[in-house]
Amino acid sequence: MFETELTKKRRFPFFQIIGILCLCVILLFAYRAYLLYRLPYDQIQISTFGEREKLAVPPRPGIQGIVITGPRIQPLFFSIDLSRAGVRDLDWQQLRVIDPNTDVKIYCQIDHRGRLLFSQRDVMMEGHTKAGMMILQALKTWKYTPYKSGTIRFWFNLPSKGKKLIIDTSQLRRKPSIPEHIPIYDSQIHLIKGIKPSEIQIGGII
Amino acid sequence: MAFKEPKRQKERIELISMVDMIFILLVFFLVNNFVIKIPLQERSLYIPTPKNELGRAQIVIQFVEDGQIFWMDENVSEFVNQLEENYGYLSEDRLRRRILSELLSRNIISPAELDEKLESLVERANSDPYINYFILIRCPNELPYYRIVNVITKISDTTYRNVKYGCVGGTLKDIQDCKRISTVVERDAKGRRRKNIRIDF
Repeated sequence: MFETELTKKRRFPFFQIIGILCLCVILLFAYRAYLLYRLPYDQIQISTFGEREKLAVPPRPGIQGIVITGPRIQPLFFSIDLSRAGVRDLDWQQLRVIDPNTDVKIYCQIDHRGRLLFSQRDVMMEGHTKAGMMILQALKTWKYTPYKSGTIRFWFNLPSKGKKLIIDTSQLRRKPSIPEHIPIYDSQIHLIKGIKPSEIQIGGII
Repeated sequence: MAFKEPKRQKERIELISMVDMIFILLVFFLVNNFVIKIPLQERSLYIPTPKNELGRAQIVIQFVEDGQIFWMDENVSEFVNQLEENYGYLSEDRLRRRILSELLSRNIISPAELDEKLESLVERANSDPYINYFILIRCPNELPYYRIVNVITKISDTTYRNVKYGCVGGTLKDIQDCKRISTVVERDAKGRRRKNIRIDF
């Protein structure tokens, strides 16, 4: 009985201290809230350590670098330059009429200005002179866009059951002055009227 | 003395509690389904997450503190490429500085010139609905807000809504102090090659 009362007596100041402490904390927070309420909006600090912390800039496009889209790179087309004067086409049907067994090989050079150059030695037309002359007369007029130069070979092989015209462009090289990033596509390599696309092979090695 | 084994009660499901639970869950899901509904427009709203990548734009408008504007569009690419070719003998750092100084002397414009450029841009955008522009607006933190709003108002006023924009913070000094500025050949979304300008900060 004596012990129980003593314990009760001891407990009382303990709860009192806790109560006072709680009140103090509440008063402290109330005072802090009052101070915050008085401050201008931009000066209200969220935490005491707020000043030390710096908000990291969130990663957004345009912060690390920029890419400004430039103009589209127009590709170049290596083909017969039809804008040049005197360019003549070759009539395939006429060639067949003149000599249906035409077998003519021509090794030509395209110079840096796009001209097609060949000499008599570069033409192999044994037995098919008439057809060969007809081909040469047309080929002499052909001029190419000056994007590629080198050797180009033509093989007119009319009796063939497969490809009747083979144009070897594997020796052609792009002009060094044209920047690498500009693509050069082969376009109209020949100017032959009346030939079926299935009868032509472009790019093969003769 | 023999121990008496306690009689074990047969285990069974408490039906009353289960019905309670079922009804609570039912009410919860019903409330979720009918009350908390996101509007359709909000659901279809695309909110891209910012990524740590290069900002891509056709036009960059950099506001300068003194009221002027640094304008960069696709013409810059050809100009920079020309400078790279002309001054290719310079070291990387000197070439960078040279390009930047030439660009700054050529592409700093006044607010009136900016208005003209934006008007012609809007005109072009209105003439063709298939042309899409993206403008990156970079502005210093201290810049008055109305200046950006003016620009945004102008570029937003297009018939086909084909001029889009994005705003980021940044100063002209960032561009001046960039690590690298050069032309790069890249393929766009349609696979076409383009000669772009790349600026790394």
